[in-house]
Amino acid sequence: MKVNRSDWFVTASALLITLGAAFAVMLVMIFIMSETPGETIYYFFAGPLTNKYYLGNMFNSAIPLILTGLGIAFAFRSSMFNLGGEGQVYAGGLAATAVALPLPAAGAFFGITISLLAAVVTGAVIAGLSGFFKMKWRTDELISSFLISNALIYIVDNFITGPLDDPENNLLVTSKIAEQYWFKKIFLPSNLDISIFFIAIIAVLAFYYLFKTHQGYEMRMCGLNPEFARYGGINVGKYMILPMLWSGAFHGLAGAVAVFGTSHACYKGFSGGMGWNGIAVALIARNNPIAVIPAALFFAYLEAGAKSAMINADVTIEIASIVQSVVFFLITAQAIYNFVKFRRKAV
Amino acid sequence: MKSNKKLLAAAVIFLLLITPVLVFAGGQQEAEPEAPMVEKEEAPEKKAEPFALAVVVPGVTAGSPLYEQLVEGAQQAVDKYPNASMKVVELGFNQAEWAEKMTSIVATGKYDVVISSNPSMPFVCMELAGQFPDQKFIFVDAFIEGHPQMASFLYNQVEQSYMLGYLAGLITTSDMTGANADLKIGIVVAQEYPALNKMMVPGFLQGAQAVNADITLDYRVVGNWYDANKAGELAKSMVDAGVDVIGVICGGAAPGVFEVAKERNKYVMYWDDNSYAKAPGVIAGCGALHQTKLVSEVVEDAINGKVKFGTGVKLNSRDGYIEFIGDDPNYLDIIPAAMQAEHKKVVDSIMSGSLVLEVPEL
Amino acid sequence: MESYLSMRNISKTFSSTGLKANDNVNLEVRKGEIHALVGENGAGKTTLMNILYGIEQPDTGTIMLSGKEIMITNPLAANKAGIGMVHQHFKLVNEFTVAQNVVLGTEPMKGAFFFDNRKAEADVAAVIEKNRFHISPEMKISEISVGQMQQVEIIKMLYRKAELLILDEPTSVLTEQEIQRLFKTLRELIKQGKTIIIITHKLAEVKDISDRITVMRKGRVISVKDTADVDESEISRMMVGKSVVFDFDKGVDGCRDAVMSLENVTIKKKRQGRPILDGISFEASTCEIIGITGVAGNGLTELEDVIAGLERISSGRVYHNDQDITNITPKALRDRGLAYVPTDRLKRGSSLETSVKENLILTTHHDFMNSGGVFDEVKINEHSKRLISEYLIDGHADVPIGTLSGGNIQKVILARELEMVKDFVLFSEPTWGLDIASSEFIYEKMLEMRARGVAVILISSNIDEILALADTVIVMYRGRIVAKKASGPELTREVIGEYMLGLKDDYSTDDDCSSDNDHSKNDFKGEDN
Repeated sequence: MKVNRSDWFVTASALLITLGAAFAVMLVMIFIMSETPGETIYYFFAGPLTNKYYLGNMFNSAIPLILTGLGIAFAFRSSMFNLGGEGQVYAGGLAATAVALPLPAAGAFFGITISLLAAVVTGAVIAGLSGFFKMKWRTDELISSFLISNALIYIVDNFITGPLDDPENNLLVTSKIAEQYWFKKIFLPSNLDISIFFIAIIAVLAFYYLFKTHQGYEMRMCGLNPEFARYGGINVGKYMILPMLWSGAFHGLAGAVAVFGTSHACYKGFSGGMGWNGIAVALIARNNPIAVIPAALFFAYLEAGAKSAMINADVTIEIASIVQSVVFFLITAQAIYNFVKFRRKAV
Repeated sequence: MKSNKKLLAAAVIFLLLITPVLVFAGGQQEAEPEAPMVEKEEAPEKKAEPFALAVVVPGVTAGSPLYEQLVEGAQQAVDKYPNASMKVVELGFNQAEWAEKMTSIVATGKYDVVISSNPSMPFVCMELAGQFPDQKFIFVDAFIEGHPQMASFLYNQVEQSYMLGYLAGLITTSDMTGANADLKIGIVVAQEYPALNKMMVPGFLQGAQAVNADITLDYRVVGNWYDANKAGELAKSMVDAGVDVIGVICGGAAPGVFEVAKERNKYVMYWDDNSYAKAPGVIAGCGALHQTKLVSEVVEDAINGKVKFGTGVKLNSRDGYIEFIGDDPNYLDIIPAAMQAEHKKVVDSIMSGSLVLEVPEL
Repeated sequence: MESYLSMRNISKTFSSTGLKANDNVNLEVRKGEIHALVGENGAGKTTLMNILYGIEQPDTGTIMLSGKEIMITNPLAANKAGIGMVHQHFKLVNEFTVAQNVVLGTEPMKGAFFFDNRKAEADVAAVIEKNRFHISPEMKISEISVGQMQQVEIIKMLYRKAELLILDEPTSVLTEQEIQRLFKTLRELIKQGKTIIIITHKLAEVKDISDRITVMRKGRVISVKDTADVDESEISRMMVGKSVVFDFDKGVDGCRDAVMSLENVTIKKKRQGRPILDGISFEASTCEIIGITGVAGNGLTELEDVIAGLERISSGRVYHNDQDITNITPKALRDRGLAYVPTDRLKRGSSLETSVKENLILTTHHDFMNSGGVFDEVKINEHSKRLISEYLIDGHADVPIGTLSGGNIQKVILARELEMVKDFVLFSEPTWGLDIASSEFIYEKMLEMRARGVAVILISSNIDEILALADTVIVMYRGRIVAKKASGPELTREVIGEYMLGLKDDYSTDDDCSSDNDHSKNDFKGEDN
């Protein structure tokens, strides 16, 4: 119950131990599955850092993770569980693409602004629904957000392979958005684009909002002890919806940024994993918006390592992702354990 | 508030921890030349020089006949040359990641040539080819002309589709047990793409209408390459509407159609691979591409520096890479002998070149 | 006569509060008797029984059962020794059947993995049959009444072959008929040779059911008697003891304007035979402390929640300054200026992981924003600094409030709430578990409020506190008001005690058919003035 200096130390060392265990498991698995384990391990760990392209891409894939991590952290801070990240990212990406496609290529600033806005609103509305249902009928937002998201994935799929599909190319993808809309790349040849600066600023603003503003205060109080918040005259119902709106908005933006920065078109299934990994990122960051940045980078590093091992060494894509998931699993298990303990204490 | 400061501190510590690694990475990357291509394969006939090939599978090899043939063909060629080596890389099913993964492969700078098989690959690689102007690409089952780094080989799918369509036309107008009076045939595709829209579907219909000009085509899209349930649903509603022959171009979703066809005693036409055994009694006609042969030849040429980059080659059935499988026991069982003979006439006229089916502009 | 159970020299001090809950307690229970353990709230009865049932470990002392010393480290060990306990709050799984609940934890198995539901139902049916309960083992808990739930708890203990049954406040949630049925069951169990310890505050029931009585007060055993030898008022006197005298000035006359009033407030819950609150009417007025007392389980908690707007009422009306505020949200009530010091300081009154500073601004945080909705940190820091020194809080503004002692947490809550007082304030059990100095500090603040003309509502089960502070005293028993009296020399501890324990009732409806008729009788004020 007591929170003091050593508490932080315990948390940090627990995280380090888990990371150590995760890496140990990973090494064992590589030794089992790879014929050239030395090489595989080298590419897994050092691969992402050994050339400009990999390094830039690692940072680039951290961008949506930072946003989804922020989205989850906001929800968690208010004791809300947003399990619908996948669908919100996906729908956000589609909304931004759908708005950007018919717009004239000139006036890109205006176009980008309203496309991003469309993504943010789409994500916010989807997640907000779960919050609203909880306020209105006490439905569990964990379940409802997950179910809504899953249904949405099919709807978005349908748009991408149906009305918005580009029959001129051979992929399941919409047409490309006008080149003027593409975010400027800053670390060629990698995909890293200028949005990383804005995202970092957003993370700092999110921290500021959560800890320095009146709404952030009310939100945190609802999360830490809802009875206390209600007793103190905070409208608890409002804070079932608001954090979900924020959470959805971040997810929607993540989808839009992934499209405008990297793929420049909405691919079927492009959001795969962004939502789930966002949960893990938030858990590792202990729901602190600023800590989300290194946590997302860490995840991106793991992902890049798996890719690098696959391309350069003898592991196949499946083995790479198994190793990756084992590491994710161990890390999130520890973080979830912490979170559950925290939630029990709070309730 | 206190704990947040601590978290902030943690973030800083984390960054400090990874800084040495980043610096190390920076150093590494300085040492490497910007353009990763070191050796160039321009000098022909110098067999001693090592040749590295990346075989890129856009998806997963297992379960996809064309990709299996791609890997097999490349392996055959590489095995002949001790100086040649290859690595197979699978891109997985998330198409959004293909370009990035492809770039990662190219960025290693290890490979003289990247070979892949999929109509979409020229599109996927277009951007990254600009970033790595020394990288060479070979695409089979795809078409691109005039790009100095790319060579492509396109199967004349109009021909294969025409052969299958003609057989479908014969069946639907016949008095075979599964055929009905409606002049309707159908096709279930996974997704729309240019080769399909411009060669396969029109070829299929054209073949059928060569039997009877009133035959119509019921065209359905699954939306992915794996949902057998949905494909089955589509097939069911087509059969309900009077369709008795269904063409199937939907990869892993095809078994859904097989099942419906079997239940309702209907016929299936199948592309690209001898697959009669996949659904005996249901698949009444099947085409095949000889991708192993093509890839093996092309890779051998590449090793010897004989591939002409910048060209797009269109392969017809008389070149020996496209075939209608007319000697499979399943086929011989299902199709009456008279119909077999009639169909063979059309196939032969295509093979001999007397019936010319042009590849359209893609 | 030889004792069946004897607990000797049991002492237990809770480290978190420093409270000595049991001080050298001895308890002797004979085989085949119903032994009543009585005492006020906080007398240490429940702690003693928790020790017997293995939920708590004593600091010192021994437990002997049938002449043998036993160690009871957890409830399972207690079960093994033949001791079963039925808690005040039932521990049942709603979605399970009666049988499944009864066997929970000791399920009969088919093979190594499968739950044998048929055997469970048969076994439980046998226990029900033998003890003449009226309940079907196949019913789901969600389908049965509160009285039946209690039966399930008892069946559960009998299924585990309990010889000694502990019942903690078994009648607090039951209707009169259900109580009679329970007593019949208990007598039946005695016939079969079981032994029963019953914890209760209700003296009529003690007289009715028990053979012997042990009276506890402030962690000690005061007296052990045969029930036949004592009458109810004697037990009552032993329970409440001598007054600790606080001498405070009473309120000023002549400034009594109603601020908050309740009219016939009633709460009925599904599946509960009797209302939790039954036709409550009173007014809280300016310059007055209205004291509401009663034994736990008689509606004080619910009344607290109603006044704070945290619990909806089924019927009746609530007014604030003549405006109808029935069932408005807690936020709306706070906006009207309600200050409220809750009973549950740790769960409701504070957010333990949040800093003292942030706890202090809960109800007033709107005042610390600049135009953009951003907090003015400087102002917040000054605010907490001022309150920490004004309220003598021993703790730093930036540490989580959970690291403070109980008294200091209460002072933080007090500081926060009294900062925002407008015209009414609710204190619920404000000094529970606190030392004398902290208590007096709180009393001073309360009197200060009254002097300012604020209407003060004090809910407390501590009679001394009520007598010392309240200008009007309301006593609750079984969800009803049984007495409403102006304070004065004739209003003594003993008098209140008799009302609290249900021995007297000014508004009895026994001779009345409808309980709603007493509204007119209930609706008066200050008759003794």
